[in-house]
Amino acid sequence: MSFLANAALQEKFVDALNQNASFETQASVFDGSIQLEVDQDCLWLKVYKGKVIDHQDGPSPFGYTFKLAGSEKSWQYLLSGERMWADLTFPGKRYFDDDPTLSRVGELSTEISIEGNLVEAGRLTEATFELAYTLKAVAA
Amino acid sequence: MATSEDIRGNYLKVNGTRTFYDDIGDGRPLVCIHTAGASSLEYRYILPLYAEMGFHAYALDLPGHSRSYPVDWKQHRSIHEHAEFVYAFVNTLGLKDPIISGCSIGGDITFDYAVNHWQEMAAGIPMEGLGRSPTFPRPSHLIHPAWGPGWQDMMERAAIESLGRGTSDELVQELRWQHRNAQVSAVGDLEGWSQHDVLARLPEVEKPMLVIRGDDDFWVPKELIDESVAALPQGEGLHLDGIGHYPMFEDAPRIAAIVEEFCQRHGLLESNQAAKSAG
Repeated sequence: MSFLANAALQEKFVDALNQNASFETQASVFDGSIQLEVDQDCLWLKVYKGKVIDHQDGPSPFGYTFKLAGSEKSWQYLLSGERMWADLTFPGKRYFDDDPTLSRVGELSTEISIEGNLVEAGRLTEATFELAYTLKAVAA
Repeated sequence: MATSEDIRGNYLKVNGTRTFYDDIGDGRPLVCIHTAGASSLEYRYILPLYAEMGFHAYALDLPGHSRSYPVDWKQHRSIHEHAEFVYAFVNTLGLKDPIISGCSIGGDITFDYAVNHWQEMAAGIPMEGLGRSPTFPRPSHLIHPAWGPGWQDMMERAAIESLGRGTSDELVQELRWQHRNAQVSAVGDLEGWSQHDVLARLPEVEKPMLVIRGDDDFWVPKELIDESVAALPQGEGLHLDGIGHYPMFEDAPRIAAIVEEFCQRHGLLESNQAAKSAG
């Protein structure tokens, strides 16, 4: 199980997000859901007018507007502070420790993927940055 | 000691396009080129330092950025278009043997300028730029707000998150502001970045080239910097700790000192001591 399976952390994260004024501002014109996935673990957040009004451990039958998904290793880059959210989510291969011949230059991989309604995800770019750094602060 | 307030703002027509540039100092011309979606303001800390060292330092707003109009009301969409515009800017001003120095897309522009016009430049100092830079997909769709409604935030975050980790909050806010209102031109800039590749022509550049990279800059892989330097006959690579994607903005005194040492070593600038003795 990953760090996201920790129920106490989930509650703490939702509380912190609901106290984040910047997140509230950026998500104030949003009625949808954001799903976080770390390996096989999942946290579903129902967001309405800038507040998380419901959440659950695992996927919801209502689905999600967009999701943020990656491996535990990828999320740990965020939690440890080793990499920034822009670096983790903007596409493009930028590390070549595993490819010394540079054969994969130009590859469009991402460490943490954003999937679902990408127009809504794009509109909530700043809110998603706030969400990510709130999670980092809580998990530290 | 010169300050940012001593910088002069100027307009001129370059191939018929109204163009803005800052300048300060008297001496060998040093032309500075800004990053994607930004402007000459990025050089406001370092230009006075260059002037103190004996350069006549210039920083232009690329077409479609800040106070420069776009050419024919369309943004440039390739690094080569930008580089040829900078070349025309240099010729319009009648600058002889300039040093060309740019950052990010300005670094790519420096490389493109060098492969096409190295005989007419004294040296190149690209920062956070590459011989080839296919490091993210071509972002053409983001030019339409309805297609990419978060683009403004993405651009600002892409900029400030790649600053050196120790950058002050004040500089973070200043850089964020410099990247606002970049919906159209920044897309063209980054289309250019994603397609830029003059790597195979770098061996033609028979002038000194100092390629600078900050270790905190995740947009520019160290390995691709090393690849570019290795392809240059007179290339030098420098990786700086504590610096991100905007070296001249993050730590102007440190970068100015590096540029001064490089130029003195290559006979492009009298040493301050020699100048004082001569005076």
